[in-house]
Amino acid sequence: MKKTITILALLLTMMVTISCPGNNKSTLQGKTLTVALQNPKTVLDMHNTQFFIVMSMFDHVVQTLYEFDEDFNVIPLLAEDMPTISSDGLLYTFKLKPGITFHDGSPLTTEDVQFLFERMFSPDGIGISAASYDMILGAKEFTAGKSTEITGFHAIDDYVFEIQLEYPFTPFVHNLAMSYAGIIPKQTFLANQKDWGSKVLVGTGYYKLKSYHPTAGVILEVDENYRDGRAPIDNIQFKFIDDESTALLEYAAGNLDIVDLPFEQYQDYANGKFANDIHHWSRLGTNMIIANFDDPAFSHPLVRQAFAYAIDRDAIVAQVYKGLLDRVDNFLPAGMPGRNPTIKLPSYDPAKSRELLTQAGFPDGVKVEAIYRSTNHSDGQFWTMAQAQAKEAGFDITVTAMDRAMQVELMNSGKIPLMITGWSASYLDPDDLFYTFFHSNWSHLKSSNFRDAEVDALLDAGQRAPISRERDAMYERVEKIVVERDLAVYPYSNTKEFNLIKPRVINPFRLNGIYHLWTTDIQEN
Amino acid sequence: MNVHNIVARLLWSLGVIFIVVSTTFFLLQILPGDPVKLMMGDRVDPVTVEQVREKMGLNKPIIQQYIDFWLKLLRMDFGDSYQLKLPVIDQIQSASVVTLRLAFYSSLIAVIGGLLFGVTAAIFRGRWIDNLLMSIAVFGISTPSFWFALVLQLIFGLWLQWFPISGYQAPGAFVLPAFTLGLRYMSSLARLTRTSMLEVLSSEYLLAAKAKGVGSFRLIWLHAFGNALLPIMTFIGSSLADMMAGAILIEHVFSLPGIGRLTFDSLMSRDLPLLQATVVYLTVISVGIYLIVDFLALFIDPRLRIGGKRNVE
Repeated sequence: MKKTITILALLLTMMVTISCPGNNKSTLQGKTLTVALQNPKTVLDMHNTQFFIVMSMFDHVVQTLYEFDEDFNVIPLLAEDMPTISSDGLLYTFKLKPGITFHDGSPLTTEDVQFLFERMFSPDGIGISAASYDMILGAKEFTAGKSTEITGFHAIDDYVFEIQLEYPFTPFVHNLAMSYAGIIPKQTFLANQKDWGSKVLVGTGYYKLKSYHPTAGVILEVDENYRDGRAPIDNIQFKFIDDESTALLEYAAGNLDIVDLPFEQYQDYANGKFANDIHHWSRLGTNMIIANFDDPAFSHPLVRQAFAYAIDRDAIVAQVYKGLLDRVDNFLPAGMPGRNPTIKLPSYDPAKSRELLTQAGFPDGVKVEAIYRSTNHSDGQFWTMAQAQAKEAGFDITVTAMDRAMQVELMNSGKIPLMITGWSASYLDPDDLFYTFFHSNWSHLKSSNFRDAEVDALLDAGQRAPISRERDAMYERVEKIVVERDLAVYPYSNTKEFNLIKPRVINPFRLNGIYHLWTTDIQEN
Repeated sequence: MNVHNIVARLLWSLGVIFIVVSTTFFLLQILPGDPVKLMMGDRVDPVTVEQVREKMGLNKPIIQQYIDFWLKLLRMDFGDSYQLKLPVIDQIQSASVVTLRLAFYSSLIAVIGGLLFGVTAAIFRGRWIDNLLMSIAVFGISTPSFWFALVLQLIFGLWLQWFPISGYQAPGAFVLPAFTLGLRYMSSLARLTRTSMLEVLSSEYLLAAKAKGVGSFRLIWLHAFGNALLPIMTFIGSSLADMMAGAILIEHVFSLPGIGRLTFDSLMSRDLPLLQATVVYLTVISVGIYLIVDFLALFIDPRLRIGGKRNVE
């Protein structure tokens, strides 16, 4: 009996200790918009990440010198006007809007802009997107520790500064509109480095960071004193919900205002009571197949031509993507300058594929391995269909699923023989898309290993050329080479996103996958 | 209890922890996937990657890294997570609280339900109630937990709106996940309890007690159940160790930021400091629980104490 009582007492003590309530969700006052996001598993700091999910939160708090309007035009935000650019394209002069303060009351000055780049190129740890800005004169030397300042940044006064480039770079101002160039207060950051992006995030945005929890989510509260008038919604709550089904259930239960709608579930909701809640957003992107030029078989031009006939991309887009995406042959998305309107890839023709393989010296067909990320279910479905189609056409594709870390390592080493990928541009300029995939300096990172001197020359020239018809023509030529002539990629669809959004949400907006909710409102009952 | 045996048992447990943690350390070194490249993105040049690796100490010889790891571990310094740049120990602390709560509630359901079902089934052996309870137990063992989770979310979260569908902060948030996690263990425990009780119920000393006029309640719960407790307690201990390790699937479906998800996410992102720390945590918890179970067994069953050294298994 004594033993039983002792054990029960121990259990009771444990029960009391462990069942203490955890942090109870505080009730948010005012209009609150609740958005489901996958957990990015990183803090809110664009210095360390490229995730669009983080941008969806970050952009509400931290702003850039410029921003994109809904048509991707670059317009001033923290800058007073578009910069003055010297005739050689090397010197940019900027002026900040005077009187802007950060959320902590400190004034926005040139020192903070300078700090953006000093942090980005810091020898103690460069920003993840520094490569998009390293054309600034002296940036590389600063990172290497050969200089104590970035010689290309000149502060004229508290509001005027110049940036000198090492070489002309036409999309430079576009890059200044990307989240990676968000301006933060230097002194506040230095005083809160360890907590930056989690407990502390200060900017000039419509919203302030109210709370950050690495697994529960983020709450933003409106800045009542925003310079151009406060945003309509008082609080935006981003809830981290990794399981798509759970997020959809929460939406159905009325606990979420905005949730992603996966392809697989689209028809269920399109035919159900939430049909009118479906919204779709286009992205500046393309889904494509990449075959490695270093693969013994795929280094042969005829094999690459054969592969163009070996996959029925129409059927795949119709079935795997439920016909929700548009079939494309272009690498550049619609609306992108430099997009070549004449690009056309052949249709599925297994007999033609086999004929070309025989001509190439592969009468018995070609074996190749396709690798995809195990968490991408649609990729798995893609390869299941493609494998069957390709078999008819003489390609024996082995499909391997891998976790992200292994897949990224293999891809960056240039060793994936065959894969599909979706890639979106950040803005309406073809440089970033083409350069990443097809310049010989970088093509190995996407396991393309495409190398062509003419393409390199065109891409280098395109970066430097002013926006003009001639520049567009350069990129049209590049697209002709990489898609039609050399078949460096096999594009098959554009990219889109789908959301369920409650009717009470007015004017929701998502630009290229990133939520921009500062003009959104809620109609209260 | 023999002090010598207790000390030996403790030392043995420390040895197990040392071996598991060390083995994991070396296995993680050969795991494919570069954590620096995952952190830095695609466009970073190789020189910068190497600079970062150097700064993180990843270029040191493995033995040096191993020694540094243990020196830090003894100071309870696990460093910062590569991805979140937050102290690892803070992340484990907050995740373990969530998992502890889930494990506790699930254990309550498993133990109370399992014991009640098992004892009742044993008492009414062969009758309809025995068949019903054992059918429920079979259902519980064979039902996939993710399916059961979805059903509970649908019925009690969406349709009836009795409990939250996901999350851990709202009142009642642990009810659905606890039932999902507890069901399987409850079912296994019910079957084990029934078997153990049936063995004891047919024993001679129990017949003697009954002949002496001992009431049914005392007969079952004091005499029979007490003697059937040992294997049941061992099972409860191992179940608790399992639950404390975190149920990844259940944590994922219900958006519970527990140890299971933390371990899985750190593995996927090759967040080595976080991954190593979770391994240490899980090993210590598991070894600790089994140690407690062993000592409780000695405490409960005097027969195990007789004979000194031989009795500590």
